Amino acid sequence: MLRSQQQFEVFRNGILSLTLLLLSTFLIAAQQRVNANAAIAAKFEHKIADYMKLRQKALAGLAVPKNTESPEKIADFQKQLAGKIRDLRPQAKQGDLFTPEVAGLFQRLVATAMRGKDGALIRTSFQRAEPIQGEHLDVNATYPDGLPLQSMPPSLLLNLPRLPKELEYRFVGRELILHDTQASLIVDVIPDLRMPQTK
Amino acid sequence: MTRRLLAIVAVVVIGCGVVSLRPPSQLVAIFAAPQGAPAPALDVKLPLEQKSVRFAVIGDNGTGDTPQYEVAAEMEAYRKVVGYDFVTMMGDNIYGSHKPKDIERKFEAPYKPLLDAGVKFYACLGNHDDSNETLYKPFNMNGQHYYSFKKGDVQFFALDSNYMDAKQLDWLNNQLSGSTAKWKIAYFHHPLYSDGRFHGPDLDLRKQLMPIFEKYGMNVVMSGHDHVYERFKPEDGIYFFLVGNSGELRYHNLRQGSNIMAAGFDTDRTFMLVEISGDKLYFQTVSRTGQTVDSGVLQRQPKPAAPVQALQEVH
Repeated sequence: MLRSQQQFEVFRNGILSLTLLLLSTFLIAAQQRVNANAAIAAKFEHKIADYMKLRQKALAGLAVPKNTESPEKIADFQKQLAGKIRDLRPQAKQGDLFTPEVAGLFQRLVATAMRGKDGALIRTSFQRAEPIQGEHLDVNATYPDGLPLQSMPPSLLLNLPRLPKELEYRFVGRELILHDTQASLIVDVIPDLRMPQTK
Repeated sequence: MTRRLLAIVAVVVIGCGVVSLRPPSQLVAIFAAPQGAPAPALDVKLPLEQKSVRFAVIGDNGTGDTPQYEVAAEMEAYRKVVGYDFVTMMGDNIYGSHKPKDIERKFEAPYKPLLDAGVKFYACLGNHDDSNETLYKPFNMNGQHYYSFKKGDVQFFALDSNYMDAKQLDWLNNQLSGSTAKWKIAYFHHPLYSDGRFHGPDLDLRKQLMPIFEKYGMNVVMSGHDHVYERFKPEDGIYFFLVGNSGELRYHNLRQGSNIMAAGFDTDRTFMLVEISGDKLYFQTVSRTGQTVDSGVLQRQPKPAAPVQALQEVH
């Protein structure tokens, strides 16, 4: 009797230890994932800050037409700002800001948002906002004049790293672009951001 | 919770009751207004009370095509009688190309009589607009994608529904929490409610905005995007309008048999006139050919009675 009770306690302690081991392994892995994501997001924010410094240089000497009645002045300002940014980053290429690991992070963030409770709302929001199809946009190119800008579902935006007000994320088909709004310039592109099916 | 429910019921009853005081023929005529019918003499339904706030509403207007010019001409005819001095724009202010000559053809030329008369336009951005429209003085956006302005007892909140990020939501919360205005009116491009079959409502945007609107007692919400005119039965105690056909039009695009629609018009372009005096908001929606397709008066809602925590449960 005593022996069988001892056996039971050994068995029970074994199960408890195993459960605790599995749980802590899972928690450590989850924490590592969170830390890894935070580290990638921090790198991305650093690159955004670098771009903003470069943009500030491009703005030097340019008169921002605040409250002008002249559409010509606005068009000239946009063209000049875009030109100066291009001059300051002539070698810019896809992946400079959206590095492979940042693109991977965005893929995960979008997937998380789409698979969450708001996934169906986000998908419907996309469908009802005149999605843009069949366009490919190059880094440093001007956003095509006359092409609508796909609105971004708020629940998705709230899941992505914040940007300064001069920059926006926009979807163009399956591409996610980083758009400099005043320069109307494509800063970077994630070429194939798959939108997972919702539940 | 019960007080809040009672408040909502009261608003629905008052809203529907007051509107239904209009002659039934006007409400029936909404879907039956024939195209190309001779324009009647100006039939102003607004009371034109002293010291009232009067404005016009247009949406999805910037096509540069003949119907936009015809709506603009009708707006000018009504301005001479109604005397409104500003216009709110629901977005898609400029369709297609945004070269300087397009701004001239799609905005400056059609609305020249209004601009010459000193009428101010307050734009918000639609999905066809360019961010740099914010720098264009005649749109009165002061370089901002979202902004607020006051006229008398009314505070307007022009939002950017293309990009409703955390910064904008924070700004809206701050603005509304500090607002002492008697009337609060929000407007933006994408509708929270719509019976338009082409687009329909933006449910994700609704999920983000409605708790804020309810919490701070938003009175009226106006949008565009679907190219029709629609007025809704009060939703959660808020009056909703959709004016998305001041240039573009989706003919016969309204879903029939909707249980949220109070009135709709989808066979021609329209603009809306609004007059706010004391606790009453008078509205009149006029078609390109000068016919009044909807009109009525709404009573200002009581302030929200429910505590903030209870409001969060709505969605």
